[in-house]
Amino acid sequence: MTGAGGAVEASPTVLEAVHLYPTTMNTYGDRGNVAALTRRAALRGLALKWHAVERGDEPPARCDLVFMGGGQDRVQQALAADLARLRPWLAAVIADGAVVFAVCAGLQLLGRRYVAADGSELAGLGLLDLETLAAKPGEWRLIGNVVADVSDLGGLAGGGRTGGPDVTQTGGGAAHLLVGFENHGGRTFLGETQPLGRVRCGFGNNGADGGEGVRAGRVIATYLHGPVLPKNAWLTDHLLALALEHAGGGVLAALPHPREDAAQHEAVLVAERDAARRGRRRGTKLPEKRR
Amino acid sequence: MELLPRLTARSVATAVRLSGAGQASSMPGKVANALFPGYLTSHGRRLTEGFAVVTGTNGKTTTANMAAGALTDAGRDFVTNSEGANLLSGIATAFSRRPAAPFALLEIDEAIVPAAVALLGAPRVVVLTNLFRDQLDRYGEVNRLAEGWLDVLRRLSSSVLVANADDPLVTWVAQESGCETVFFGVDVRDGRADHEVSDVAICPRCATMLEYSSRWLSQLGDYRCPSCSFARPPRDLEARDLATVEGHAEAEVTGVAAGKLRLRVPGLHNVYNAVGAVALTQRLGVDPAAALRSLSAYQPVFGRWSLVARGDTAVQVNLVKNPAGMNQTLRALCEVSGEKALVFVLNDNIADGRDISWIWDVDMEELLPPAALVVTSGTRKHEMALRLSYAGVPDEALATVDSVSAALELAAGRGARAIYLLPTYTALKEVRGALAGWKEVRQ
Repeated sequence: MTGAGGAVEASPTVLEAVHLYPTTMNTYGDRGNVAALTRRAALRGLALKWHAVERGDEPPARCDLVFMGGGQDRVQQALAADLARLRPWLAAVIADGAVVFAVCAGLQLLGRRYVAADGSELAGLGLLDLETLAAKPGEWRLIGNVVADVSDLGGLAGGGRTGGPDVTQTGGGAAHLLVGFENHGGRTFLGETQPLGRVRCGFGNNGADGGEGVRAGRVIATYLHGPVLPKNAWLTDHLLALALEHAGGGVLAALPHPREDAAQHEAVLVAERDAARRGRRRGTKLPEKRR
Repeated sequence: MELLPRLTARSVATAVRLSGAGQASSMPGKVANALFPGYLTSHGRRLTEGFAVVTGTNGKTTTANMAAGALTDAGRDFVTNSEGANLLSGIATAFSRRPAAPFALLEIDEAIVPAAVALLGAPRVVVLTNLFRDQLDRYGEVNRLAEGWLDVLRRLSSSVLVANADDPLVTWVAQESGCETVFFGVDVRDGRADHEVSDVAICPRCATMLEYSSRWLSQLGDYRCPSCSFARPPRDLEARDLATVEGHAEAEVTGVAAGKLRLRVPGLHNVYNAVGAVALTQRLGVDPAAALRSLSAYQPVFGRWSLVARGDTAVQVNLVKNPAGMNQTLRALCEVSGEKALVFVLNDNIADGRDISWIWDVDMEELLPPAALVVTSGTRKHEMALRLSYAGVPDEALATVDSVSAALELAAGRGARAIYLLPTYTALKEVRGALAGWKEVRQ
């Protein structure tokens, strides 16, 4: 994967990236997110060096980017103690200005707490001002294709606009389209923090307030898998730009993304057709469980 | 009592066939079940020799068809849903076709096993093939499916399980169920699946990370938990010394059956299907040596490594629907020599799973065979092309087209003589149509 174009420069800038729990937190195509970051770095002559951090592993001292994917409920419970161990390191990494990208369960775990259906509380890492409530009895899991508008990318710390052709599709002042697939029972509510985008199709954080994901400084999290980065090249590039800046490597070079845009456009059409078909129906009929 | 639902199903079947809408393997039973909700239960009671179930994520259709071949060769009278129509509708359709059969061999969708057992009663034998991530938007996580199975099996103390010992989650279900279990497996030294995604990385009992001395297909391997006593159990039937000879899988079988296994299809996954079928039929009273002989004549059903030809062009069709299955298919392709054109048809309809994230969990980077031409089609053809591009397929070898027919034309136009068509579930229907004029070839 890292081959193409990676070795053109004599001494490429090395970005240190940490993948948290890759063997267990990988349920919904998260390898695609790793592949997208690795490939679009390599095509620019940047080496993205991945460090897998599993239960009990010591994370590296230097770190420009942290990625955490989604996992099965049982796995999340098993990882709770180890995550608490990593909290001081993660807090220091964030304070140092590294970029953190989390998907689905990763988003929930970064929050303050998770309130289970029986009212019991699980403490989160408390690194994002949000909390998640398990679906109430009778509430549906939020499943399906999502399109969200992401505006004001400048509000994401550090990064400039890295937009491609998708900018023209959005209109209405939105800078980017964010497309993916969501599958979560938990409803997330943000405190004093901004959503990453506003849903146009799909449910988003809680199916009520229209927010999707969260952004706080250089911490970005989303409910979207699918996976999200390969077909949202602007977001991949944004994360790389932030990581490169943190590594002191300057400005990220422009790089076209026609195939990525074709996949994004295809996903947008599917999501829009689903939304039209669904009409007022608010959910997917499936046995309830927590995520 | 049973006459009306049966006549209803048969009338619908005739109508479906006359309209050219397909094979009528589901719709007749769907109508019969809707109009006569007691049909499956009353027919279940009439099966004087009971029924057997084959369930799991991958290998259901092939395992059931392999077992059906052995039962037929042994002169048994039985009914089976051989076309992969594995929901309640498919079962009812099969019953309506062969109302007098005393025994049923039923492939059942892994998520509807509880519903099927509630209607049909206790099966004599249940084959549990494996549990891999598949259609997460529809089935949910594999742990949920395992818990659903366990719920049912705990109440079926008279049923015998035929369970894949190499799958830690299947083993856990079998052991927790309290049912008598025949464990089957395959022994692979130097398994090469260490980099494959696993959905059972942690011990099903105590949540410690499992350790493997060898892992050969997703989470299938020789596993043990370092902190509790959970480990791969001894196999009552095992295949070892796997080899591929001219695209056909071979192995030595030991245990309750002993002898040489020779298949007409390739791949470790088909060896699993075969030992599962031998273990099942052995429990049903078929001589294992005779079952091994039947397997050597087994020809795949459409879409499960089936082969058609026209002129000097051959098309092999194999359903792909989840990372474990696609990885295995690509491995099998790597074992086949010669120039290839590959066609991936990725649909995201409900029966495929709306969520296509699974294609990114396939080990394309490691397992994609060299191919002069790689074509994508289906409702998510551009995402499939992106996946293949990221896996290193060069732009000049990669094409995206609007239909299976267009893919076949393109490949033929580029001089491809061996085309491998890999459709998802709902794309199989389009593939069947596109290959209507082609001739079936025995393998």
